[in-house]
Amino acid sequence: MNYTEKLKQETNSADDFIYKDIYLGKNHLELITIETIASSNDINNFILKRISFLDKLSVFDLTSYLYNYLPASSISIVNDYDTLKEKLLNGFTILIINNQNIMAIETRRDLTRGVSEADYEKTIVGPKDAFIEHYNTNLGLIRRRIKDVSLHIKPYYLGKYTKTKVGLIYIEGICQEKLVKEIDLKLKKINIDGILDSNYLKKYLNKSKSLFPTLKGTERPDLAASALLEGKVLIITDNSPEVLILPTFFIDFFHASDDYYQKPLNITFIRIIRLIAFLIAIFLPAIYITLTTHNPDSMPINLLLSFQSQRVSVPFPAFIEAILMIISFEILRESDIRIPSSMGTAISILGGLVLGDAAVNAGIVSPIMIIVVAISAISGMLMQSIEAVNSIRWYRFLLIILASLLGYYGIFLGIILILTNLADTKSQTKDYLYPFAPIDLKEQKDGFIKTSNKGLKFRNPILSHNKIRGKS
Amino acid sequence: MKTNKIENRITYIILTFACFLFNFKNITFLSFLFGSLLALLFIFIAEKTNLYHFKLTKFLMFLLAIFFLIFYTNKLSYFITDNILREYSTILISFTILLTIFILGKKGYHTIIKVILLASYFLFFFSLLGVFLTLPYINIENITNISLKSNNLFLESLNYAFLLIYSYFLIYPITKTKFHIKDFFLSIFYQLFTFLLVIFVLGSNLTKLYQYPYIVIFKKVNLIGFIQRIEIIFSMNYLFFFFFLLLLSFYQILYFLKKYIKKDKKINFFLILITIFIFFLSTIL
Amino acid sequence: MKKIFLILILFLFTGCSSYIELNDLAIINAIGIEKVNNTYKMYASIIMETDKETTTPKTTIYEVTGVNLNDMLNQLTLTLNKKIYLSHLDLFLLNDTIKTQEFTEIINFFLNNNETREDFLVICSKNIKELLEKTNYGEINDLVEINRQEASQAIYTTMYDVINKFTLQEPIYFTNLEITEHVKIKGLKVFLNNNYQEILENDSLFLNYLLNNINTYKYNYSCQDNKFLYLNILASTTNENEKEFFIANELKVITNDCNLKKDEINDIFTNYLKTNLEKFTEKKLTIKNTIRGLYENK
Repeated sequence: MNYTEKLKQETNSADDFIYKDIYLGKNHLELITIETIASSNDINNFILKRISFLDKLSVFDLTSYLYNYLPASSISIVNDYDTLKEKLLNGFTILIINNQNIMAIETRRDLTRGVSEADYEKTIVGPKDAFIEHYNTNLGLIRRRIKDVSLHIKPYYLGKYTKTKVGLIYIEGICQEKLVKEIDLKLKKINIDGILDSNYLKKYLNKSKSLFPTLKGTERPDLAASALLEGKVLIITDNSPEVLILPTFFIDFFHASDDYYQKPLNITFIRIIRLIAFLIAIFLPAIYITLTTHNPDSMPINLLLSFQSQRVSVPFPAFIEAILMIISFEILRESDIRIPSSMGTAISILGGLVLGDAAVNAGIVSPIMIIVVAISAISGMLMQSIEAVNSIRWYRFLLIILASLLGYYGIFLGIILILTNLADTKSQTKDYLYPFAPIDLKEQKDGFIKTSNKGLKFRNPILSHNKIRGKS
Repeated sequence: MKTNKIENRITYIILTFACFLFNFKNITFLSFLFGSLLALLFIFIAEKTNLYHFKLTKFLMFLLAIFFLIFYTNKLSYFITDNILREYSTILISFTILLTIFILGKKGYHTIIKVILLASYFLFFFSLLGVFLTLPYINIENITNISLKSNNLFLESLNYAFLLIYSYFLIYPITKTKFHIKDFFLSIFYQLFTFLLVIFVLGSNLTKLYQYPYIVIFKKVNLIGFIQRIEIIFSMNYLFFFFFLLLLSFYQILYFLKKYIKKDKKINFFLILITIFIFFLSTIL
Repeated sequence: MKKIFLILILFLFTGCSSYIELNDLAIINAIGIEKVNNTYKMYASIIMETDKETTTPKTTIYEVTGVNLNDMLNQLTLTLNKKIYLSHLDLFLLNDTIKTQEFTEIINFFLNNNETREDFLVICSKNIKELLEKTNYGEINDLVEINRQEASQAIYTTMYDVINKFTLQEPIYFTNLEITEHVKIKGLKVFLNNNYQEILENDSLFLNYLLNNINTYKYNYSCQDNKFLYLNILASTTNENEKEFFIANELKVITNDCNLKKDEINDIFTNYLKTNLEKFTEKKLTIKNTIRGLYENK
């Protein structure tokens, strides 16, 4: 039972493993911690201080005394080497008493930042706290909002080297058991080296070939709690501030978290604007290309003449111009994320000048093309989820290529391909386009148009058996 | 096959409207009425005797679907080269049509119905919008001058009835949903409405002269000086309607093959053969 | 499988051959056709660029000769080296020399061409080339439209009307334009049975009465020296029967210098209409007037 020797061998006498021997009369205590994970304050104040009092007392059964009187809320008895390693690596302090009994005491150090404001899911009204990288804090933020015993959690420890804690959260009574079982099976099959972020799980949780995402990650606890109340399932990963919501539907990407905190009439207007922005982001460059190449007869004559005069100076066809502008815009966007703020202003000015005035004056692009690409790019960023924003780009490219080859007929083919792509996807065996494609007129009252809150009496019928939400 | 019943009814409305649109030149007022009555009778008989259970009707539908595809892909590609893409060869366009139908048709009935349902949201919206946009251009003289003559009343009404019955067989027996007369009358009413609209706006003489009169009425629209040149939207509408008919008839072929051949690879092989056969025949005719 | 798919998709790239640059389009704004000494001539007014100060487009005029309309358009492409684009055609000018044979050709061309929209204005004129050189579509359109609304002498015929009436073998009415220093409307021309009949300016109003095409016009009657009765006719409708015409007018009296009474005004106006309308029909005429404005009650 000489675990310390074994540990020292396996860790190659690592620097941050601390082995302390304590002799209390005839008893021999060995304390093992990892300095970088455990909080030395807690160890000093709550364990070593208590043990120092034992010098004056005479105790027969040291293990039961320590188990009952150490001021620590989480103490457990360890029986084998694997759990010892597991506890040690999770920040617990190991006490080996007389080479016979082993205790693990929780003394974790808080290595994360505090709860702060949301980074990319901003709202005007409503709560502004966000998830952080600490599993317990995230769970605590959800428990604050759902104070019911039927909030069930299933823990998993996934990843061979990382052993990250992953929790599956659902409300029993609302959520369907079938859904929980399916996700349970999928999570148990995972066998990889490490899970560093919740997005690593996405591959295993959905197998659809669609360009549009079927999983939504959120950093807002109020959104997560409302998803739970609808009958959806949450997955929290340790060391990841993003919580996954399953199953997501297409319409969820048009809903923002503060949609339920404002008047329904204003919300319908904003949702319709989001839909219009989505359509503009996909269709506008393609329509411009067909108007200038294959079908100029849908334009009134003044517009046609102004386009003609602008295209005189440009040496490229419209398709290549569009691709150039879109690629330079994507380069700008990517560099904007990576560049530190000290260099940011100069480069944004350069980008603006280059893509704006200078390119037009040099005769490389026409001004209308810059307007078209800028409008479509900006309206594409109206969604709250980054994956959705990134997938719009592919639809836009598809439509540009088809439009430049086949004109309006190409746009028609593009629409059909996009619709089949969306109609074919299933998010956890539920149809992705739920209130619209398998039609359900009652649910459409919370789709793009939001009627008054009286329509919220019933829950989503394909997500939960428990239909009635509340009597109001 | 469990599908939602409303979806099947909506696809039936779309298919009947498609039949009406591309058969516009061959119908007059009377043949329209007689044809729809004939179709209704036949559909009732077919429902009560469960015609689709017999192997012969399934085989007949299979053959009819092949013939339908052969004759009408050509028609659709001519429509596209006339109105939308003017410098193209029709062979390439019929190739792209068959290619997309092949890709879509293999995905299964559920996805096809979902695509049709999604498209129907904006198709219905634009059809209604088109009615309101062309209402100001109705000419009172044309209302009094409707000509009821037809060349051959019997053949025309048979032709029209055949298309309505064909579109019934494409949807209802496969999914085993009940046929509601409401849908039939709704679609007939809407077809009659557009028929009368076209005649009132253009006049019965001009509708006979033009090739696609449903689209010519939108060339007249010029409201406020801003809403003009909108016929491209309605020709796209026309495309969608036509395309869905072809798609469902392709699915009929696949359905027949699936019932009598069990291996997937063989089904694929036969399907590719049939589509190539359709492609070559449609280019010849 | 995917390789076959990619090869098939290469077929789609043949669409690049039908790619048309906007600057290679010759946008035709107006066409004028006439037959001079058995040669068919066409004048096409092609838009070159817009004047940025005014919004009217600058046009240049090309003249080609040929056998029929298709042939002449071919010749035009050869002279211009650009693709002819007829979708923005706004004006079509004719002459006395265009008769049924030429009409059938023109109508067949426009029916089979899906690019054009046939709601452009069709006008008759003797000096086509001068008209195209000195004015443009905007002026002519405004002239005809305002005359139709305010003086009810001109008729706005579109190509739809021409096709419709030609195939039904009914008379086709064109407005007749003339240009000396400015453009003027010089009455109407009626085409029927391979013949053009000219109708003078003063009579075109009454022809419009029989065709139910009246909007508003003004009537000036001198009852004494330097004293006038000025009427504004607001609306009128005509209904036709086998035997008679029913005409209903709505009048407004603007100046009544002679202080005429209602009945007298009624009589004056009906006499005026009857004497002039009898030139055009032999049917019986019944005219009703509703009068408003300045008059003395009986």
